[in-house]
Amino acid sequence: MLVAILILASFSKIYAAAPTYEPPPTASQVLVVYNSSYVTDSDSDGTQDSLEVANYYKNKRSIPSANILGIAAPTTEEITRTQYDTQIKPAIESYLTSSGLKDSIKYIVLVKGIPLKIQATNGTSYGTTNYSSVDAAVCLLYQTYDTTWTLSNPYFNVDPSYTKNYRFKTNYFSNNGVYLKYLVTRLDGYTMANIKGMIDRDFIADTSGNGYWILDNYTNEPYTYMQTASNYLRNLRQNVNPNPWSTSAMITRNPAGPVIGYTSNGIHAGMGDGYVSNIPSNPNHLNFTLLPGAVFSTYESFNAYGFVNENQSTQGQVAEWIEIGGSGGIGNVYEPWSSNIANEEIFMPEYAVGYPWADAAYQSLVNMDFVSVVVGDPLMIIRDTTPPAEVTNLQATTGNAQVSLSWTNPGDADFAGVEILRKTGSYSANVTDGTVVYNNNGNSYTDTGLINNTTYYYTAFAYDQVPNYSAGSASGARATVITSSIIISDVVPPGKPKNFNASAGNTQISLSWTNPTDTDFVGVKILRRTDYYPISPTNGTLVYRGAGTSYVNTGLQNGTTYFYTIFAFDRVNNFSLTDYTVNAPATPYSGSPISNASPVNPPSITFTEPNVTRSNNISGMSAQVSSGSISLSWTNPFNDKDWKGTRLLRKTGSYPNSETDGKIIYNGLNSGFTDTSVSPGTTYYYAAFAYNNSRNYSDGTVSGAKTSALAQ
Amino acid sequence: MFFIALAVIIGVILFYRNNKKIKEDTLEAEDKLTETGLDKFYQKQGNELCVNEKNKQKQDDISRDMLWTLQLDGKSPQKAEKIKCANGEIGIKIN
Repeated sequence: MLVAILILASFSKIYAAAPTYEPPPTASQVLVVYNSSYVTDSDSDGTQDSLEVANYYKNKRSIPSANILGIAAPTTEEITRTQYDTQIKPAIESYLTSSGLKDSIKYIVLVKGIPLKIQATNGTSYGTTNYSSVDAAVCLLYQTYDTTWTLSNPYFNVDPSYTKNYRFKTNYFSNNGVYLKYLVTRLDGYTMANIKGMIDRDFIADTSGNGYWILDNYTNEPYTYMQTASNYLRNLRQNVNPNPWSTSAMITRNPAGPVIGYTSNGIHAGMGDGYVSNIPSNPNHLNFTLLPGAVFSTYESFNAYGFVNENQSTQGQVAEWIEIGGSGGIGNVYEPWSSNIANEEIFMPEYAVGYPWADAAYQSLVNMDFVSVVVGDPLMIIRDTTPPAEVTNLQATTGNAQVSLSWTNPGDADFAGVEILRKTGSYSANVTDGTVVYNNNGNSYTDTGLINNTTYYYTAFAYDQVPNYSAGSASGARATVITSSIIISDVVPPGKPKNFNASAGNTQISLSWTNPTDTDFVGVKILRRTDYYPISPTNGTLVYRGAGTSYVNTGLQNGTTYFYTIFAFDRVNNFSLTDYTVNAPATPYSGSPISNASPVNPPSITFTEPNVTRSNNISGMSAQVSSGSISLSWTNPFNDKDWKGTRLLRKTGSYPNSETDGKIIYNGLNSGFTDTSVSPGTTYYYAAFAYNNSRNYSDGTVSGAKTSALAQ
Repeated sequence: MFFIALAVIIGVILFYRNNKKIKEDTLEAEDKLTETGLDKFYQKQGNELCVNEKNKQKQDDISRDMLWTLQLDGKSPQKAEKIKCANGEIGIKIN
């Protein structure tokens, strides 16, 4: 039994579509196709309708001009398969190939004037007919396939957990060798005003999440999924009408709030011709306030019968929905039976969680190459899709079989938390790539139970309330560390401040200095005495504490000599060393300057001349290039008893020639570092400078202490 | 005694008439399903029409389409329902 379960599980893994992890789509991934043979200019503005819709949409969405294609197609709504095969299919394919857009386009938008449906050549019998919508056929460009009946849609219900990791990708989803190449939608309606109104609304679709989903099942129909849809939507904290779900007879006309989605049995529920209307001539007309982004799909066979006028069908029409302020819909151009009607329990929640409209709609269609038409802007989204900014300053500090993490969260108003993943070998590419070690909204965590002498990569993904995740690719959101049973605490003091100067004035002394460049530098502390120079960070009166570079000490006694000492300190309060370079005396005066007095009775500890002995060099530095990163390794001067750490710098154009010449990318005790903030095609020059107790740096320009690499 | 006998006779008549109605409805449903080409997808077991398809999703889809076809023909939806047949396949039952 267990074996059978394992076999089944492994098969389901093989056949389940893998996530695409595609980012939200962009305008450059949309191809707009209009009919250059369509001469009707219904609004008499001098531009034929098909081109006018294409241009209107192009301007609204900033579609690149190269992504607008005019084809000379038949001007009737219904065409033959031969007409499709000779006048539509090759024209679009030819342009996609010659323009180089074939593999970058995800969505094809057919606008008013492009034929709607391909008539059957073999009758309409269930399981054998070859009729189709033009849109469904365009989804399968570049391929030959059996046009009789249907092909299972490989994109159907791919994301039942609403991860949004399955945004559409061309050449990715296939079934029996036939790829769902493009998602095709249509911008059409009864009038130009209707179509332009739809495009306008699609662009400003409501993202509040407050709209109502109308699931109008007038009785318990065993072929709909409205009850399931109601459950799923309520689980996603969406508003549904009715609530709670009921199977009793109903015709919803006055929902509890503005509407974002609608499904019903339409005229089969006795609603009557013209119910998709805001005009009360039909007593059952939908008296809805539609939010921008509101979509429609009903259990009616011919709800996308045509886009010419209301008299084409007595059933509820997608075009009528657009006319009353709708923003999109899914309909059928010929008899779909029930299994080819869009599954409302899929497109409604997928659209609600933030899938683009085209992605949500096509996930809800069981079959390809049949009668469905998706109307609306494919890029329309009703959920915030902007992730918060990246986490910054992620620090990983090794311990015995554990790693201490700290970081700074972004300041976005909708920031909800941070998910930190651990991985070996490389950083995590997304929130499913690695082991989640932390998922909350704090700013520190200790990851325990690790294996010593192992390199761990930590990646932090900030997320908002939707949730949208940050990319986790910024250097501040990544950290790598080698665990070790030997815990080396930070005992390295920061470098000494330089250029410390005291300048006397009337009852005041102006102090100035230059701070050290250590990555863990926090600030300086200045103390004073009137008898001798303070010899420690507590030996005197505190004058200043901060990260500035100047300070005016006021309220002093003219004629008194003040002796100052400045100390730099780091995160763990290591203070810089003292010698005469961090001392400065001054005597305030009124009138003529007064000479400084000499220190009196200084402690027996006397300052020595600064240690100027350079640290030994590191050796054996090498670089290994991978896609998007350069891994550097070296040997630290362990035989130098004063060695305290190594600073790694990077430059372009030439090698760093000192410990301050270039960008500091690493400072610490490790023997390696992976530089992930590299641009492919750029040559980077690296040099490492070892330093000792007295912050004297090694030469760093010698062979073995430097290397260069071309990033890929 | 007379009333008991009368009740039994009425019960038998009602049972007979109900069975007859179900048989008539099933035949009528079959006519419509044959007309649309759906007859080749199911096997009849009394008043149950069980779909012959290996794929469960297809079994479900075809059963829905059979119910849809009957509804479009004006059949009262309460008279047909989706069921799981004795052999485990999905189908519809005419009541």
